[in-house]
Amino acid sequence: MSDLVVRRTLETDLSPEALVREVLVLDWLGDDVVVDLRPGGLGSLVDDEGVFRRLQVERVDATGVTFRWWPESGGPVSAVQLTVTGNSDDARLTVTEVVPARHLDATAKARRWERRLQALADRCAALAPV
Amino acid sequence: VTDRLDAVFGALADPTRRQIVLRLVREGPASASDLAGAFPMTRQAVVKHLHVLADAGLVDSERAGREVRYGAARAGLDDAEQWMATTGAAWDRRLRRLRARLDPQS
Repeated sequence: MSDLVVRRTLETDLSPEALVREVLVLDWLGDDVVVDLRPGGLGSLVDDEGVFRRLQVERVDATGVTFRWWPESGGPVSAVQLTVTGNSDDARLTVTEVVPARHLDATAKARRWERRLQALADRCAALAPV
Repeated sequence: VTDRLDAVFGALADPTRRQIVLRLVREGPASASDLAGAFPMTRQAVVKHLHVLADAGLVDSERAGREVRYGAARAGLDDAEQWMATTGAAWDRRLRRLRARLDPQS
């Protein structure tokens, strides 16, 4: 089974160097962003849905950053690439997030089992003598 | 890296394959012979279409005695669609925030 990919771009009139500087601040990713911005560095943030995410930096260079992140409460680990390209006054940021389909399947299966076990627990509770 | 959704769209670009998926969604699992009886094509042609749909994660198969029954894999597609939709929307919001910081006048 193949991977799932989301890709977005942001066009600007900045130089690539200026855009990379802004991108690497990373506070636009969410709230309470804390990242040790070096390969292997750990970080965390709270996304727009209030989900606490942990991340680990894989690569940082003059073109951007690559990291893996995952919801702390459980969910698929995905790889994120923030890459800046372009010329002196038309830098572009390309965001790519990839999740291996098997991670997504594992999460979905875990969710389904949680629901089944909850249904079983509800039935047991209903059968228990008062 | 192949985008799974590309595979889904590619599989569904063919009108016959769309009809097969619709039939499996509406009427439940069927064998290739059942489907060949419902569409103007050979069983062999149906099996080829089913393999394309299975590769895209749109169809599941299960052996029942001597025959293989095919069904619409709706849960798998829903999970993929849900991830694509929520992740894409989250990046749209983040990029709007970055844009606003880069260009406070916008």
